[in-house]
Amino acid sequence: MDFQQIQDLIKLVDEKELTELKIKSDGFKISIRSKHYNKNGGNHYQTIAAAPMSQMLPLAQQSPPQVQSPAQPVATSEATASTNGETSGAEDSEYVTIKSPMIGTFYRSPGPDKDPFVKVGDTIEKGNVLCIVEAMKLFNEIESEQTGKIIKVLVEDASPVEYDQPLFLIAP
Amino acid sequence: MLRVENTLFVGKVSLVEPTLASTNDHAISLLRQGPLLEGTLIYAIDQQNGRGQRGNEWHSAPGKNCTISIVLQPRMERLDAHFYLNKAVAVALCDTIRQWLPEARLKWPNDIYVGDRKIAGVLIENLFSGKKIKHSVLGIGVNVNQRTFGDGLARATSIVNETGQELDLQAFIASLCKHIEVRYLSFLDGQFEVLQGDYLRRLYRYEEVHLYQTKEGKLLAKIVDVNEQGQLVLQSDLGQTAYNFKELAYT
Repeated sequence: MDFQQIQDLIKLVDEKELTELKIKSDGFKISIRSKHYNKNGGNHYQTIAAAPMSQMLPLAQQSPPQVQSPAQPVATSEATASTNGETSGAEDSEYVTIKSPMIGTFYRSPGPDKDPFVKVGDTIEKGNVLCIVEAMKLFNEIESEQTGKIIKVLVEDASPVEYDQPLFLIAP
Repeated sequence: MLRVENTLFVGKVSLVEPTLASTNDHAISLLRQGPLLEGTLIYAIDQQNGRGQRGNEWHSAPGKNCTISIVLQPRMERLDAHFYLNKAVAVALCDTIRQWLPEARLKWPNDIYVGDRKIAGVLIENLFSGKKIKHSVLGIGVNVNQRTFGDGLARATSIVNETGQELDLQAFIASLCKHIEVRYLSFLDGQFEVLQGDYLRRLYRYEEVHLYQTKEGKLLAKIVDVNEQGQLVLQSDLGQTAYNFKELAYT
């Protein structure tokens, strides 16, 4: 990827009101998320460009603040979507929220190279493990107390969570 | 068959496996299939892929070391319960090792050190349902009779290396079970202040001035507490600061 392409990307982020630019470290793609991404309940990643990571990473890190600042945690962009009326309060109340029982770091998978425990759209049963919250070298698996379907994952993988912070929305 | 005779429940049921990737993983997969009696002990003669913190590995020579997991069901609804359980286990492990090495100390959050060398480590995996711990798997690794360690573990030691004497591994495990049971019962009884005091008294570098690497740079400070969130509290010229695991390095 050359500088011109980076500039095009920045322009695109600006014009399309994108809220997240995602770069996979061991993959070959950039994913970009618009603020309307959960309008239809799914993850609408748009693959904008594909190039070897080794070339892309340093460039992306140098990108101007316009690109950096929209790359907020998912929770933020979803909060924006809610206030925009994408998800009404009435709908939200039909969902069950799984909250963090502690302060720690949220992990969606059992290990660095493993698949996530659950994804949006998955049907889960009571007792299924949803995530791990790690705190001071203690690994805490969080299981669902509820049978249902994962509607939203509210926290980005490997990010810090507070006590009682909502982690998942589940439709019973 | 591993016989643990001096306890009420810890280690009364033991599952000995010739080879396991990780005793914790094995315990967790058994727990997914059905309940295990509280105190169930799993021992792998050859644990091939013992885990430290997320992603870190620990290589143990077959039949030489204490490579076990113990399943507990604390079912305690208290915000900081898991941190106190960790302290209870760490203190029990330290006291077990102190029978042979009285200078053993506890390195925050739950390693055991002799001098500046690591001799044992703990990896606890809890399952939470809501705010309650459903079960807790204590993975405990102690270098007992292993004499040599790989290049990456230059700062590791073992009981045999420190004392010059090989131990009866079964007797060591039985003694560890006894210590864990005593501390676990005291934890269930809510004796958190006693645990906290005993933990701090065994803490490596407690109240000593040392250099630490933090994200702000090098800091000359002393450890004054491990708070209710499990964080290490350092006192320096800048005042007191609480650190999460991985937010600082001992130098």
